[in-house]
Amino acid sequence: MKGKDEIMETIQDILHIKVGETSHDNMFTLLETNDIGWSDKEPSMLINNKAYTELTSEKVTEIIKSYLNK
Amino acid sequence: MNEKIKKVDYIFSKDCDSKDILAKAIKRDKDDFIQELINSGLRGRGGAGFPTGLKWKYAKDSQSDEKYVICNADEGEPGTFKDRVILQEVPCKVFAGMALCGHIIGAKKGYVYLRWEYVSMKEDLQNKIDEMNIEFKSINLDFSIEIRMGSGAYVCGEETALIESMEGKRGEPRNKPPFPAASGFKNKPTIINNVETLTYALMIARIGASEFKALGTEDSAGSKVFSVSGDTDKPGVYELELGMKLSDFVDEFGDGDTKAVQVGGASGFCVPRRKFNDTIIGFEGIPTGGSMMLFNSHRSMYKVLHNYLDFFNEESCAECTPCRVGCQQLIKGIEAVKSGQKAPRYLDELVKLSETMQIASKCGLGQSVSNAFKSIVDEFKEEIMY
Repeated sequence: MKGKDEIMETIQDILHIKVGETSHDNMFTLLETNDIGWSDKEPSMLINNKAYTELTSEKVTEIIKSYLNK
Repeated sequence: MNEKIKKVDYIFSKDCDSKDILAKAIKRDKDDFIQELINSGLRGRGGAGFPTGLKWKYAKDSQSDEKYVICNADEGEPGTFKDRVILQEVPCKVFAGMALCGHIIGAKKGYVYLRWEYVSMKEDLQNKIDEMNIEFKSINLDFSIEIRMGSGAYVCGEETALIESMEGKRGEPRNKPPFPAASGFKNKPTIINNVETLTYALMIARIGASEFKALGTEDSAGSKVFSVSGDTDKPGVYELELGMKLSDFVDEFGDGDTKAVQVGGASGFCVPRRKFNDTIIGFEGIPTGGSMMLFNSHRSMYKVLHNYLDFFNEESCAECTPCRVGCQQLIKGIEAVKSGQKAPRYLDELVKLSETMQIASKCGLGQSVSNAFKSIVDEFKEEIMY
């Protein structure tokens, strides 16, 4: 309800993968999930064990880039 | 806040010491405390609403050398996040509640079954548990708590599937009876209570049954923590008196254009605007584990229903045929009606199927699908058809 589709598109664009696929460098696999417990701060995602909430295209771009740059 | 909605502050209040409340409570006569819990009218706050005092009494009365207390922190109902906040804000109250239960029923071991998606909270919770385990020893209470992580399955919120998971098996529900209070974890008497229920049990030790019962209604005593989301300017967690009218709730939390409220998540009921005034939020009306999701007029109720059916298809353990096949047929069915492959009257067949699932499914998951299915199809038939 809060713009998940746009976030999914952004992630797919940055990593050049579709849902269910793994990125070329094997760093990321993109999967959809059901409610993870942050309905008041959607869109949200988990990267491994860490939860990120109130996502926007800009935020999610920054977050993913921070992992890629490690 | 709208004066018809009463906000209370038992769960999140930081003005009391849970260790202190526990130390006092364990000095009381056990049967006496169980009676107080029964008198308070406290019912399970996870959604199923079984009277807490009675459950503890059954476990206490079961003869066994080993008994267990399990805190159900598998919060998976879509739109529910209140247990996460309780565990973040007042974890010691939850753990003290567990210890109180252990003391009353005769259990020495407690587990927090924490949904995997909350694994980022594990370290902080473990630190608090370590503190409390030491505290229990210091008041001569033979009780210790351990965390067990879930693995991302909604069905493991169902108490017997949770037990199966804890025993290292696939999370599939068991037949009931026997009930966990008689035969649960490792087939020993086990209390499985929701995070919020355990916290209220501790608070009732502090405030007494009368103060709790003075709130709410005859069937829905006390207060409850709600998690509000969707088309609202005030998403978040709120502790409110039970028994309010849905129209008052919408006045407070709606965005002015509320078309429907899903009370109780995917396994709950969809209430349309025309019924807001006649709907009570409570066991005598429509109960909820806490999830309250508001939809405004821009939302497609077909998409909402499809989303819920998608959810059930994914989360069904698939062991029993009514649920496994029923969930598949319901989603295929509404897609077929939408695309014109099936005539609109096929929806009547699907409703009957959902009713069969309600009677014949092995556990609450399959039994609840008809709640959302019927309420959305009945009230928003045109959106489902066209």
